[in-house]
Amino acid sequence: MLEAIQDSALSHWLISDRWVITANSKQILETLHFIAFALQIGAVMAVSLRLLGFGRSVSVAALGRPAFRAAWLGFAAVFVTGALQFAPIATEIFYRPSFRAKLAVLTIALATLVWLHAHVRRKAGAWDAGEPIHSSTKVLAAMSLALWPTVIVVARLMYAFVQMASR
Amino acid sequence: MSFWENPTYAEFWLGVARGDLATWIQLTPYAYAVLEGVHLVGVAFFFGSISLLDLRLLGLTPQLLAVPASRFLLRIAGSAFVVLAVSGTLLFVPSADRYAASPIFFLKLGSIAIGGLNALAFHLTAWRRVDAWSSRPGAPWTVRAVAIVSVVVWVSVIALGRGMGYESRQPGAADLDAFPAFD
Repeated sequence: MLEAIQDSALSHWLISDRWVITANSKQILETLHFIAFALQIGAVMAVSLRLLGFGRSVSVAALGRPAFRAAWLGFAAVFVTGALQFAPIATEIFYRPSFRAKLAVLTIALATLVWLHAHVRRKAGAWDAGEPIHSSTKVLAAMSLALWPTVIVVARLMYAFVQMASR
Repeated sequence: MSFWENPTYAEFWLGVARGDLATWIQLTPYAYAVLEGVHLVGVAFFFGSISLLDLRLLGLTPQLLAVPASRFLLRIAGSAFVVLAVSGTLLFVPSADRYAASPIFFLKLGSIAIGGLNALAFHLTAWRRVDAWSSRPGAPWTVRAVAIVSVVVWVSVIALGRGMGYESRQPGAADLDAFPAFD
């Protein structure tokens, strides 16, 4: 399965340097991955901070709608650009503990995001009308605030290990 | 002769790149990668909050009240900028000589300056009349123009930053081999 992914025509095309004149596909995909995760994670961080009590005069409903939309749109782009970087090195990276660690933290962070989104969708109107934000929501927001930056740092360490291994 | 070929200039940055701080960053296991991780966390906080603000300035999220939302989002972006400046300086140091002669680095600094001037121009003009446009759906074209410049500039800064990574001096293979491998 992994060999098939790595040997596919797509993988070969992705690592061929004929893609664009000045930058190879690796750099382009990394750049798009960065822009996408910055949009996604930054938007989630803004909502999380709001739920933890910062910017109390900002409506949660009005902030949450564009923020979650940006988050899910951003994540879709993160996933696609991530999968395209995975394909050409599938066999080398799949068994690395750091890759597993990144996916594990990412999975927990995504579960938190889904749950947080559900809380906001259900309760934003009530919070804007003055109902206090329940501590369970605040715990989720704090987890989100801790988990997403952890995903970034773990991902960067994984990148370093992959570079070390390919020397 | 371009100014970065000036011997005094080149020697100064070479001295920085060979200094104690640069050596410490390069020889401490994973210091460089962790610093880059912190820098990227800063990028996420900065770019995400600025993007949400730009969506409002484009008039796409009229329910969001411009005044409290701007204050909240700019506080996030401002704090993130401090993290970016500190981690960015530390990432610059080990490759100071290369970056000091790199067009990509100067393009990135120039783009950040344009982003700052764009924000300043907005603050000094349209922001003063915020009550006149913030309550109406849509946005005046000057406000939209600021948002479009902002998106283009910050996306360019991220792309140039990634480009800089390909010019940086990562620890040499021998140094990396000495790092404890837990992967």
